[in-house]
Amino acid sequence: MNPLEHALDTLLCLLLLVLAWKALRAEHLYQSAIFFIAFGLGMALAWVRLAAPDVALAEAAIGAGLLGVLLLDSLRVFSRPPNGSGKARQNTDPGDAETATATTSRHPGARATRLLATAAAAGLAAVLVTAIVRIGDGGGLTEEAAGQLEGSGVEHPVTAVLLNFRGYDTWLEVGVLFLAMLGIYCAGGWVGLTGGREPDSPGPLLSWLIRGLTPLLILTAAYLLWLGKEAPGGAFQAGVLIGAAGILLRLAGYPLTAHLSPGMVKLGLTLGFGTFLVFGIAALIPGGAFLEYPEYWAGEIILLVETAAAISIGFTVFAFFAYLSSRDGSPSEEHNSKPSTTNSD
Amino acid sequence: MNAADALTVIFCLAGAVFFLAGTVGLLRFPDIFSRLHALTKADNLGLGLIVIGLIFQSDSLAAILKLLLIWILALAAGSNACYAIGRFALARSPQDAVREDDP
Repeated sequence: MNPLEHALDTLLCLLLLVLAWKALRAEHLYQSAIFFIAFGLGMALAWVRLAAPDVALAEAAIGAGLLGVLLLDSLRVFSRPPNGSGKARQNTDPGDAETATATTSRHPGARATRLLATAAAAGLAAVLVTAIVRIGDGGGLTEEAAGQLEGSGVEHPVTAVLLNFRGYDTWLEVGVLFLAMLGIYCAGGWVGLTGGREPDSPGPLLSWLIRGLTPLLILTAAYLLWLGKEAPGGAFQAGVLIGAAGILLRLAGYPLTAHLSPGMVKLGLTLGFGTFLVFGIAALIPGGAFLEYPEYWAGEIILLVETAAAISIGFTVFAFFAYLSSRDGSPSEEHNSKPSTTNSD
Repeated sequence: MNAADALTVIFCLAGAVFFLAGTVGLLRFPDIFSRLHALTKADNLGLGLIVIGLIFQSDSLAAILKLLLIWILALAAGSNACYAIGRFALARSPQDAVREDDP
């Protein structure tokens, strides 16, 4: 590694630390969210530098993109005082998010919570540092995974590990997403997921962009899914793109969920977890282990499972956002749709 | 260094100049609209020049088309983001939008 690369990496590490600190200590929660998005993009860059483009893609899509949207939207919904819709309008201002900060610091248990969180984070950091020190130079199970690659059904080692050798992990990850969605469903009800008032039109330019981008997003999702066989890509990245298409369509005011019957939405949400389960159990019949695909069909099964998982992840991601934006029954107060109401006055 | 490499260096450096200028503009310009102006110039021209620079390094037509697609998408997203921010700033308070010193 040459000195220039060293300097760049050092700069990146410093940038990440500064962004993390800024995200924690920013004056307004709105600024924290923005710093967090920048931190996510910095992390994606760091993963690229570590030659892990799979993780970088996921980090950029989920850590910076999706989480950023969810954070900003949560802030918009939850920083609003529960009573009085007149004041609510002003509170969508980014600067007024400070009310939320003030409430948190006045909370009696806040100090204890913060200390506890610091202790937990320090403990985790210690464990992680120990783990890194103990990895050694061998690179863990890299060689073993590469040796087994031939029978995995795919050519890309990361996909082979995630969907075949350690398919259990991915199955449970999809399960965790499903559980989170169930939690949202419990809190908001089915209406929160599918109903709620659809937002007003965000203006001609944005709706033109969204109409043009949606097919491209779906196409890119399919491309990433297909690419996962031999190159960085896969179900999570594709799923987030599908979810992003749904979020954009909802922002543009297309009544997306109205076109799908509740049965379809439920099917979409459970498809990924269910497909994993079906193929996992089917592997037991000829006497194999759970999720141990027959070598001959492994490639096809992985593609099928990944497609189902991507669809479910897309639906789940969309459900997170749909619940937030319908929470107060007035999703039209979204930043980019608000001015259109003012213009028509 | 052959001709393609020289062209890459020239175009990428020119792109970097635009990005630098855009960043300085973002930090130094007084109000939202001129900041947006500076930022979108950096996005459009800076990225465009860097894409042109990288085209001289790509070995297949598919890679070139992908690079151009990235540029077009960034153009569309950038101009829309600019439009959305500008419209929001104007609707929120026209006075603040042009006189604001610190966001």
